[in-house]
Order: sequence, then C-alpha cells, then structure tokens
Amino acid sequence: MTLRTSISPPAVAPTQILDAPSKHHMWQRISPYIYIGPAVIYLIIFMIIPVVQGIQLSFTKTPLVRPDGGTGVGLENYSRLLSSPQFYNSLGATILYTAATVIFAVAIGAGSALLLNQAFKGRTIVRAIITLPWAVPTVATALIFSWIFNRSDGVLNEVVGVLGVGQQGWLVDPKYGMAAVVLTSVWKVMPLVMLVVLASLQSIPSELYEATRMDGAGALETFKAVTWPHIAPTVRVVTLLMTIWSIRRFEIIYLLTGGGPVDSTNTLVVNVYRQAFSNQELGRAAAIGALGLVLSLLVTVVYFMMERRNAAKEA
Amino acid sequence: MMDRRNFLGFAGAAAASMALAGCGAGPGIDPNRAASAGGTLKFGSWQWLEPGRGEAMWQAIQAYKQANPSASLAQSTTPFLSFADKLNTELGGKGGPDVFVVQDVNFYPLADAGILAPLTSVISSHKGRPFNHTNESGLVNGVQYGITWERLNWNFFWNRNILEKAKVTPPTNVPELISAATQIRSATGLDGFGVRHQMTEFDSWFMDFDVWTYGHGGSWSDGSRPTIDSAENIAGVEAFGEIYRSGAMPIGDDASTMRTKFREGRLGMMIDVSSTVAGILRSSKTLKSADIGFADRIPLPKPSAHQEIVLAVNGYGKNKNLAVDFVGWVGSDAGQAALRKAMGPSTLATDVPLAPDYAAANPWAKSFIDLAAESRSPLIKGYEAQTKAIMREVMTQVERYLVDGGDAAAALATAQKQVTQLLG
Repeated sequence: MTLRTSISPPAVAPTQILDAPSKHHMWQRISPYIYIGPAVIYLIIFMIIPVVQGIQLSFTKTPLVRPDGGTGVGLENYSRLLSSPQFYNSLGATILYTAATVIFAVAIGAGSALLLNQAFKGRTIVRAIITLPWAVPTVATALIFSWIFNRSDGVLNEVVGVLGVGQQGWLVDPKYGMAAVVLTSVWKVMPLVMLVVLASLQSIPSELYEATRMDGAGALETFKAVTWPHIAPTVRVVTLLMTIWSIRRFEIIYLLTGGGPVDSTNTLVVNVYRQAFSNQELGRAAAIGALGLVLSLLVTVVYFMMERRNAAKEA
Repeated sequence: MMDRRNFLGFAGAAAASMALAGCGAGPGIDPNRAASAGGTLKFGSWQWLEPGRGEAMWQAIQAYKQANPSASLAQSTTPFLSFADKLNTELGGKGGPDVFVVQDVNFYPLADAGILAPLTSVISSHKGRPFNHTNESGLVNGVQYGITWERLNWNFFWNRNILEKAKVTPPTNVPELISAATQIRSATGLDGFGVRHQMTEFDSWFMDFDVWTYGHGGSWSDGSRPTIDSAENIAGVEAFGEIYRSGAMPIGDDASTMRTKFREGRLGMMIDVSSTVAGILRSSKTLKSADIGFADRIPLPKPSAHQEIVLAVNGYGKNKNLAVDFVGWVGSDAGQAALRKAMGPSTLATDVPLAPDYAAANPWAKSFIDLAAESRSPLIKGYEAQTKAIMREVMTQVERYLVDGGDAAAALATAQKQVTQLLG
C-alpha cells in the first residue's frame, strides 16, 4: 500500500506571506506614534501653541478687547517691567509665597504621612479627615478662610483674643496678608503631599525594618538608613510639583486678598490677571507670564540638575 | 505604506481638523436682517442673578414682545465679579451676547475700541419723553454707543432705630459722622458706619471711593494731565482715613457682609447706592422702609459720585438690528414705564417718575434719584479708557495710607508719579 500524503497549497498567496512580517514591522514602527499621538496633539493645541502665541503677544501692545489688533513694540514691555519696582515686588511676593507654601506643605505633609504610617486605632478615619481639605473646592476654601480671618467677627481673632492678643487685620494688614494666604494654601495642598508620601512609605518592605531592628538601630537611625532613602525621590518630585503649582496658584490668593493688602500678595499670576483684565493690556500681561514661565523652568532645571547629581552619587 | 514623515503629516492634519471642528460657523444668520424678522436676543447682565430685582427686571422687558411679537429674549448671565472680564473676553473673540448692560468704566473702552454698534438711529427716531442728561455716558468720540439702563447714585442712609437707641442725631459733616459712628459703637456695641474699604473689592471700591474725593471737590485729572495729588483729593483721602481709623467701622467686612449687617440691625449707617437700600428692604423681615433715615446728600461739601450702567449692542452680534430695535424700545415710554416698576429708586434713561404708591411707601427713594442731577461719573476725564488702570495705582496707595498710616499727601504723590509712568 502506498502511503500518499497530500499537502495542500497554502491558503494565502506567496506575496501575502512575505507581507505579514512587513506589516508587523510597520505596526511596530508606527504604534509608538499612535500611542503618544493624542497626548502630543493635546499638548500642541493646549500648551505649545498658546505658549508660543503668549510669547509673541509679549512683544506687542494689545488691548484685551482687540486681541487681533496689537502693534509690535519690540522689547518695550520687558524693559518697562524690568525697570518697574512693582514687578520686583511681585517677583518677591511670588518667591516668598512659593517658598513658604512649599516648605510648610512638604514638612507638614511628610510629617503627617510618617505619623499616619504608624498603626493606631482610628487611623483610617484620621487619614480620611486629613485628606478632606484637598477635596474641598478652592472657592469654598477661600470663602471659609475669609470668614475665619475676618477682623471683626472672625474666629481666628476670637482665638488670639483668648491669648491676650488684640484684633488683627489678617487680610487687611500687609504684615499678615502673606501669612494668611500661605496658611490657607498649606491647609489646602498639604493632604496631597501626605497621600503621596504615605503611598511611598507603604511600599517599603517590612523586612528592612526587621533587619535594622535586629541590628539594634534606633528610630532615628532606621529613618536615616531605611525610610528616608526610600521616600526621598518621592519627596523631591512632590516638592517640584508643589513649587510649580505654587508659582502658578491664583484662586486662593485672588479670592482672599486680591493681591493686597498694599500689594503684599500681588504674585506674578495675580499681576498677570490685573494687567490683562483690569488694565486690559494683554501684551504686558504676556510679558509677565513669560517671565513667570522662566521662573518655573529655572526651578525645573535646578531639580533635574540635582537629580543628575544624586544619580551620579548613587552610581 | 505610511512612512514616518507621512504619518506626522497625517497627525498634524488630524490635529488641525480637530481644532477647526470647534470653530464651525454655525447656522448662518444675516446680521443685517430687519428687526421685524424677529429672532432671539441674547441679553447679557449680572443682574439676572440678583434675588427679586433680577426677576422683576426680566419680567419687565418681556413687554418688548408686545412691540415685536416675533422677537424673544434669552438670558446670558455671569456673577458681577467676573461679568466684565467674561464680556471683554467674549467680545475680544468676536462673540458675546447681542445686547448687554455694563458699567460705564467698562463700557467706555469697548466703545472706544469700536466694537459696539452705534445707536444713532435710537436717538434720532426717539419719540415720547426725552432722553435725559445721563445718556451722555453713552456718547463716546461723538457717537452714541449706549443709553442709560440705570444710574445708581450714592447717598447716605441709616437705621433710625439704632440712631435713636444710641441717642445720635443724623450727622451732616465728616466730624459729626465720626462722632456719631463712635457713639453708636460705644452705646450699642454695634458697628457705627460701613463703607467699602479694601482692595479685594477694587472693581467697586474705586468708584465708591470717589464719593470722598468728589465730595471735597477733587478730580483725578484736569482733562490733560493727572491731578491725583491735588489738595482736594488729599482732603478726601484724609477724611476717609479718619473714619477708617475711628474704630467704629467693621474693618475687613466686604460690602455684602455690611449689607447683611445693616439688614439685620447690626450696622448703624452706610453710604451706598439706591439699589442696596431697595435690596435690603426686599430681603429683610424686620426692617421697614420707615426705619430708613436718609439725607438729601452725602455729608460732604461737594456733589458726590454715581455709577452708571449702560445698555449697549454688540457690534459682532448676529441680531444687530433687532438688538438696536430693542434698545429703542427700552428708551420708549412703554419700556421706561416697565423698567421703572422693576428698578425702583434708580435714575433711568428718561425722567419717568416713580409710581406714586412706591414713592409714598419709600420716601428715601426720591432723594437718591434727585442726586443724579449733580452726581459725577467715575470716568477720568481725558483718560476714560484707562480709568481702571489709573485707579488701581491710586487705590493701592490709598490702601497703604489707610493701613500703614502716614501722610495722605505723600501717598497720593506716589500715586501721581506711578500714574504718570503708567500713562507714559
């Protein structure tokens, strides 16, 4: 008996067989673009184009109500800004506000995370309560704090009154205006720092703590040897984000003080708003915005330089 | 096969298409079609949100449909604090409501920029009770771009019950005002006198503050140069400083809080506009019109200030002729009669009198209206479009003087210097 084996011809044409790897190859080549495409398109439309237009605008004199009717003025907006004491006051207020908000928010947030990482009864409830300010809408936050800080009827003056301190104009006295705005901002943003650092703390393997305990390390030594090295990158990133967000923050400051009292909280962003909407000078507002962008970029550059230095050290 | 360059080109085209998708022309409407063709007019105002008063105004203008049955009105509204910003942004983008009301300090730059529709035909075809002098606020560069929606005059008023309780007679000048406010505070523990005083309310405070400088005969310019540091202005700032530091003012309260306090019988005296008094009485369960004491004028030597709300037509609007027709109706006897009922104690575009029953029930109302005869605009002569920018410099220095003390003359000299720099 003859065994006959029949082999059927392939169902696809030889050319198609050759095309399959080619298609696969092409997909491999274009798929990264398809994945990042929507994000790139979004960034181009809502970030890159507005930033470029904003920089263009900063070299013009353009009224708010005629945004297409600007006239070129070269560097005049920048030279006026850089020769104006109000701009430096605004820059100083921005740096002071940012530094104070970031330092307190990160210190209190990280400290709270360390505390809430310990096991104790009611921990979940405390975590939820401390997280609440982050969930409160900013406008509501500003309104509540404006009542708290009210000079004649505010609860803060009631409290300091018990301590023997007289009525203070928290929102009307330039000595306290910045402190009031920073306090409100820290209350609002601190929970985010806490949540992020807490998440980082919870990713530390418990074996490491056991090992340090067996080695006889104390709490401070354990923190230095285990906890801090693990959470430090997270703290650095959250500090960078807090810094950039603080430079850009508008609602809390504007709603609480409007940039006052006596321009003590007139940060660059509030100043941009004033120039654009109150003075109706889009060109000057754009120039302040461009300088604010430089400030944010500087912070980012410094951050990445520090990161590179740390990476080099670790290597 | 799509190479990298083609793919990026495709992605760019797709992005452009997506961006342009949001910029569609929409249904084609001829902006020059006749008013009789009707349509829906989008009417922009923050006042629609005012409890009671907004609803009354909205109902009043529905009478326009009797004059033009094919027309209808739709609200476009934003809270007062952001209304002008939103409107300016919309108009800058060649959009916005067909017709809107706006304060004169915000109206002037819009008219000056040529983006409002002229209302020459409204003036030339007007019949009935003549337009009064308040409509001069709508005249910019010789062209009528707006008519008066309402003029709100500042006046001095008080709660009779509190003054009686504190055994205080109504003051007639600044020293008496300070003395009365202090007496109210010491006799009753209540706040004696309330008026705006902080930069968080800049958009209203700078107009409010004109009461004090105008009341001393001051002006912010002579028409050709700023006169911020004039003797009259210094006197006005000093007078305000005295009452601010008297200890009888609720420092830190915004206007809304002070109005609430007055309504609840916790504040003795105020300087504010007529609509404030009407609003307080409308929302108070205890305070009656007879409880309101009022002066013929603010206790200052010279005439005071007003803020004017102007009715204007969007030059980019899709219903321009209909909007102009509507403005003409607002100025007509029928429109003014309808608005008078809703607006109460405001000065309107024509001298339409208060309803006799309203005037009898609210004796204070006429005193506010009569002040329009001599009140002055917050617009700075010769620098009308820059009024807000100038006043921000001025009010920042005024605030510095109020908070830090020192010399009012030095504060205004600094403001004069800064304003001069600002104006180039």
